[in-house]
This record gives sequence, structure tokens and C-alpha cells, in this order.
Amino acid sequence: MAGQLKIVCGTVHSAERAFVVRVEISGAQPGDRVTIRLTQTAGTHPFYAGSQPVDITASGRGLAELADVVLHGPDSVAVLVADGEALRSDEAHVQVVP
Amino acid sequence: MSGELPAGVPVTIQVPVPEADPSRATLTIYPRREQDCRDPEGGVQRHEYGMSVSGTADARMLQATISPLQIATEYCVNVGYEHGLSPGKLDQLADMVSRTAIDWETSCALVEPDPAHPGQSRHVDRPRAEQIAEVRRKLADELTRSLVKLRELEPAKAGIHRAVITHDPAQRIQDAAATLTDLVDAPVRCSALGARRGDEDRASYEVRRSAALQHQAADALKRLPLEVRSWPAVVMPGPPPVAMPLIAVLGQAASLNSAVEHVQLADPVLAAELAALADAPAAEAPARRDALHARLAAPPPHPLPIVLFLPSAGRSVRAADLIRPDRIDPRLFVELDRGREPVLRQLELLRPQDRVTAERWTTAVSQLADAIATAKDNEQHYDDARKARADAEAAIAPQLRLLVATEVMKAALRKTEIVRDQPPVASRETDDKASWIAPTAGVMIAAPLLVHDRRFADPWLVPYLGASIYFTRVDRVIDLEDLVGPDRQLFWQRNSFSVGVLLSRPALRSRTIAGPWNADVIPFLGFGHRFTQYLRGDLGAIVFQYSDRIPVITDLHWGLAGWIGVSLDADVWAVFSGKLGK
Repeated sequence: MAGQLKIVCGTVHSAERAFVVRVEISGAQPGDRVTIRLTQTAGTHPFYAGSQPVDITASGRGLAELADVVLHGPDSVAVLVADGEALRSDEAHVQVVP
Repeated sequence: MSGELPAGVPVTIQVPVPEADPSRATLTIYPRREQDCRDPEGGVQRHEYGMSVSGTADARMLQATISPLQIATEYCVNVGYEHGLSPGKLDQLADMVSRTAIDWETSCALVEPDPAHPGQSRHVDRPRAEQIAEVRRKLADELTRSLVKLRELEPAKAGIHRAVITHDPAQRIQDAAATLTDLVDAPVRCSALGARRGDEDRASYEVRRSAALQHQAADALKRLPLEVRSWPAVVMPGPPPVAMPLIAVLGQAASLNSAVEHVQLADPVLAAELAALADAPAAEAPARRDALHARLAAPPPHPLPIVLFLPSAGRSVRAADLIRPDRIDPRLFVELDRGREPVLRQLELLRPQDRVTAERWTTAVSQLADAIATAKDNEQHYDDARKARADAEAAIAPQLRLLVATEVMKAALRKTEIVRDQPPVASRETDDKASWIAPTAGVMIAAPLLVHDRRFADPWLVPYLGASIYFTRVDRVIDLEDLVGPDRQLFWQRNSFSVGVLLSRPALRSRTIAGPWNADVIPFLGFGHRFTQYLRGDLGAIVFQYSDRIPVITDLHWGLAGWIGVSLDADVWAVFSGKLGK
């Protein structure tokens, strides 16, 4: 598990509107390919789920882009999960750029 | 307001303005009927007056001129004022609104597939009208939320009944949000942010593309042979580390030991011979050196594992350990990120004995190093673009704060909430400067009863003058129908006893009558009822004496007359105080 992050509708992103979630990874092992999963865990159905593979560069960074994230109501929560097996650094952490 | 209220004359009531900007104030006054001064919401003498603001700064007053009040009466005075947001609340509201979380991304643009890059998305500007509507909606939502919070933060002071009476608050909030949206100039900001976001989108795309290319370049390494028909190159510790052919180290006795470990990974037998050379007595060393020199001058008889010294790791690693089928050792990426030259130099030294393998490795490692460098540059561009976009978005909040603080916005926001504050009702008494006695002059018709003759004589039409005696002070200003008070008081406001004299002496049998006991004046008693302020009807009795019908009889007889009359009921106090006819 690389980390997780909540995205709450209504504070930054509007419900029913597609927005882009960029996931920055840092501190990972260079050369790895990490799969990022964004899974809605609460809120209004239908729940969003998406994933993107991320190639980690020599600087230990990676950037995933989930382009059509749509949450359907206020208080929806999405949890961001990095593929724990592929990501071998204990120091890896994940940041979502709004 | 202090002291008694004057009765019978118009009165100007002034109240200090408790708020900076009351938009409307109403003074309600009514006679006190209930102990708690409850507003009857109707009835006589209940009036509402609009109040105007006079004075400036701390001397601002609300004032209204009210109609004359009834004398000696207790009134309840109720001043309610309506006001918009106070300056303090305006500041709080400006702070709240300036923190409006506007998702500029979705307010300004739509996300749609990018035809130029299949599988990718791009931001496309929404029409100006939609951008404006979106920003206005966010501001209106924030205004609505903020006004609710403000109401919770600032309840009415003790004793003041507060009611929010904003007429159509939603429309006022929409108007304020529209004004602020105009000031913000959403399309211009969207355009500027769109440019920044476009940079960020492109930089993001390039980062991901270069990372994928790096992945491809790394995968290419997996297809390379892991052995080479060349003796390994060695790297002498620096700084800086220097790569050189193994054959060149043979003459440097001090460097041999550092090369042994490296060579051990490629050819343990050769490594043992190098170690023996390093430890050989001086007499044996030249022979051993010459033998090794001759051996290293030709390619090895069979391929040897490729061994690379990684200066950043400070150790030598077999290529087979660096490049595994499932992954590339991260140390290789780190090494190439720091500098490709030490690795490429080692590969170049393999070229004289195995040109094909060395060139394949050189090409693949160079491509990976290029991909790493490109990815690094793109990451920097992405960081810069993202920071520029984030800075541009972050700069909007303080600008929004300044815009909310403009006078035009304050004027619009002030009207988003109209509150009616109702301080406790005050009760006040009016003065009792009025007279309870009034001169009366009128004309009567009297029916004289001649007691001695036991018959009525012809009626008299005579003027009279007297005084009306009321048992309360008489209000001559308030309409009789509007007078208030206890029934007893109301009765004596209209009715009175009167005493007076006739202004002429009627004649009977050609001789004037006399008063009792042959007096020269003829008094009367009466009881009157006011129909209007000054006009009254009277009825009463007159006691008189008259002569006998036989002239020689000088004794006078007693007579009694009943009369009715109409009189003017003047009021001395009203005349002198100027209230007459008010």
C-alpha cells in the first residue's frame, strides 16, 4: 500500500462534472511500474473506479492521470490506492494534485 | 425620548440610531391597554409612522413627528428599525466569500478526449456565459452559506426581538453574486487559468510519455547479451573515478588489489592471477606481469559476464544482476541519472575486443540515459507549470477579498440580509394641561311653569351664559370618537354640569320676571353633552319669580322652567395654549 487520499466532492470538485485527477508518486523505486487505483468508497452511486499504470522515473517519481473522474454527489469519497506489490519502497507516498 | 409627552400638539420623537445604516424605521404608538403594552394591531389612536434619519456619525437620530396625543393618557411607543449588514458583519462576510472554493477547472473548462493524443484527455474552454454562470453559482452558494453562519455568530442583543425580513433574499443574493462575478471577470480569469492549465496538461503528458519511453528503453536492455568476448574494464577510484583497460592496470601494483574484486565477478581465475601478481615477490613479478599482459592482449577464449562498476553505488555489479527479466536494478537508473560517462566509458573499453556487443550496449544505455534525462527535464517543466497554475489560482482569493471590500459590493452585500430589530416597547404618559371647567354661551328654549297658576306660559327663547363643569380635564384635540380611557373618564369627557345666568329677562304679562327672591339675575342649572369638541346640547331648569296677573298684588309667585339649549363650550386653556381648533 503506497498511501491513500480522500477526494471530497463540493469542496474543490463539482459533482457530476468530469475532472482530472493527477497522482504524483515520489520516493518509489526507479524503473518500477506502479498501478494506481482510484476507488470511490462512499457517497452517491454509481461509484467511480479507475486505474492507471505509472512508470517510475530515475528520480523515483511517477505521474498518473485519471482523466474522467466523476463523483455523483456531495460527500462522495474516493480512496486512492497504489499497487502495494509493485511499489517496493516503504517511503513512497502519493499526492493528488487537484 | 424623556419626560412627559406633550398632549394636544404634534410631537417629534427622536431615537438614537443603533445601527449604521437602518434602511427603514417605523414608529408605532398606541394607547396602553394591556399591562405588557401588547400591540393591539389596530383600534383607535394606533398609528404607524415612517421615521427619517437625521444627523451624522454618532449624532444620527431616527425621528418622526406624530399627531397630537390625548391628555393624561399612557401610550406605548414601539420603534422597529430595519437594517442591512453592519460594517463588522460585512467584513466577516468578505472574508468568507473570499474563501469561496471555486473549482476553476470545471468552472472554466470541460474535459474531453484529445483527438491529437488518443487515450488522453484535454481541457476545452466552456462558453463565456457558462463560465460566468458557474462562478456566479459558486459565489451565490457561498453567500448563502456565509449569511447563515453570520446569523448564528451574531444573535440579537438581549431584549431586542430580531426577525430576518429580507424580501426575496435569494434574489438579493443572486444580485450580489452577479455583481461580484462581473468584478471578478470570470472569462478573463478562465482564459488566464486555461493557458496555465494547458501548459500543465502538456507538461503532464510529456512526463508520462517520457516515463513510458524510459520504460521502453529499460526494457530494451533486457534483450542485450549479458556476456562479452572482452576482458572487463576496470575503474580506478577517484575522484573522479577513471575507467581504463585491465591491461593498463598491470603495471600499477598499487591498483591491482582494487581491480581484483571487480574482475572476480567476470573471471575468478583471472582475478586469482591478478591477486598473485599483486602479492608476488619483486623477482617474480615481471614474469607474471608479462604473462598476463600477453593473455589480456587477446580476447578471452570464451564470453565473460559483463561487469560494470557503479560509482554511485561504490561497487561492481554483474550485468546479469542489474538486468533481470522482471526488472532493472534501480541502481542503474540512479547511476545514469547522475552521469552516463562512467558506464559508457567502461562499455567503450569493451569495444576493441567485442565491437558488436559493446556497441549494442552503448546504444541501449545511451538511449536509456537520454530517456532519463528527458524525463527529468519534463518533470521539472511539469513542476514549474503546476506551480504556475496553482499560484495563479491561489492569487484569486486575495483578489476576491479586495473586490468584496469595494463600495459597490458592500452596497450589494448589505442588502442581502434585512433584519428588523424591535427593542422593548416603551410606555409614556402625556401631560394633563387642560381645563376641567369651560365657559359656555348658548341659546335656550324654556318652558315656564307658573306654579301658582298651574299652567305653562308661552316658551321663552333666551341667550345664556354659564360655566360647564367637567369632572376630568377635557381633551379638545382628539376626536370624541377616538378618545380612550376608563368608561367613567370617557363619560365625563363628554358630559358636564353647567351653571349660569340668562342674558335677558323674559317677560310675563308685560312684566319681566325676576330671579329667586326677586334677584335681578336669573340663574339656571343644567346638564350638557358635547356633540363635538365645542358644541354641546344642554338641558336644565330655571327657578324664577313672576308677578301676579292682578297688578295690585305685589307678591311674586314662584315659577319653574325646564329648558333645552345649544351652546358653544369654549376652553380657556385650549385658547391660551394654541390648541383651540387643532
